[in-house]
Amino acid sequence: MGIVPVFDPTTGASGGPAPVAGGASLFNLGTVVDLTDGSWTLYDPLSAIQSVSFSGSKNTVTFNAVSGSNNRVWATNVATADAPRWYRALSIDGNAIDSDTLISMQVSGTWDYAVRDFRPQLVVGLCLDPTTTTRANILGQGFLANLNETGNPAFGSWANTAGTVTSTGLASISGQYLGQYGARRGGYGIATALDASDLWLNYIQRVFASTLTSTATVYEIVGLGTNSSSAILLNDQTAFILTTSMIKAK
Amino acid sequence: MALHADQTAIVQCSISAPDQQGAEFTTEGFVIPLMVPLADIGSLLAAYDAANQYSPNAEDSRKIARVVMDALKAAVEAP
Repeated sequence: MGIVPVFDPTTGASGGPAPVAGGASLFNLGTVVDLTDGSWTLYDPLSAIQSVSFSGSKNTVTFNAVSGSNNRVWATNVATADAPRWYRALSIDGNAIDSDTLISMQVSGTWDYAVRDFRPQLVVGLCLDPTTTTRANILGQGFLANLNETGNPAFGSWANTAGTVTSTGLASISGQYLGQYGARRGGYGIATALDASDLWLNYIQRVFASTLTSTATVYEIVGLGTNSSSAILLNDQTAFILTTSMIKAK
Repeated sequence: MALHADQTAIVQCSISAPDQQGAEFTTEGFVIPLMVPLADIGSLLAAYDAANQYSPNAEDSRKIARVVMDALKAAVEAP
């Protein structure tokens, strides 16, 4: 005969163990990214960002004029990375996370397709140094998304100096990224592109084979640049919806 | 030489990355995972001279090329 607890092991209240608290549901785990909620710090070496607003789960970013350069591209091997990015130290259930810890991350993202002023590239994930313009030192990995003025978007996997995205020949609407990062090593990520019915269109994968400094603070990063060397004009906008989940894997 | 392409893992995508010579490229195409057995690497590299435009030899070149071409053909023609 099995033993059924009659008291909650934490509170001692009768009735057995309390159900899992809200926010820990595995059915709807993601947290919506709100770049205006005060938890994020903007690093913007070019003063590219004019303003950010948040409404209905959507971040809308308005730019100042920015000249065209591959330095604004995230998925590239160019030495300088001066595109704006928001960051915050990664904390899971109140525990600060360093690079010795293996993290599983999940990112879901989509664009507002009514706002297509330029050619944005978005990266969302984890990194070690969000406040450097030396690309090799950012050591970032995560979700990658491209959008142009016309045509289909592309979603994929970012690994600091490289990226892989799904084909623009597909009518993708959203991208879902699942990756692992940490334990003193960059990790691995897969991304799936979904259509307007949230059905599968394509998937891609990318390894981030870089050593991470031991016991370094890990930061969440939302980087916004361009997917080519094209310029951004004054008052150009882009808008996107992101959800993230960070889980201590080991 | 027992070179293999992992036919089940071929995907169409766009990659932005440094190539084998460190040059940046952004291209859409097919990624074909190739398995080079550890047992063959020593002899392959010993016979390869990067400075010689006729290296690798014709036999090795044909074997490598046919693995890639067979994999690509099957991937493109897959329903």
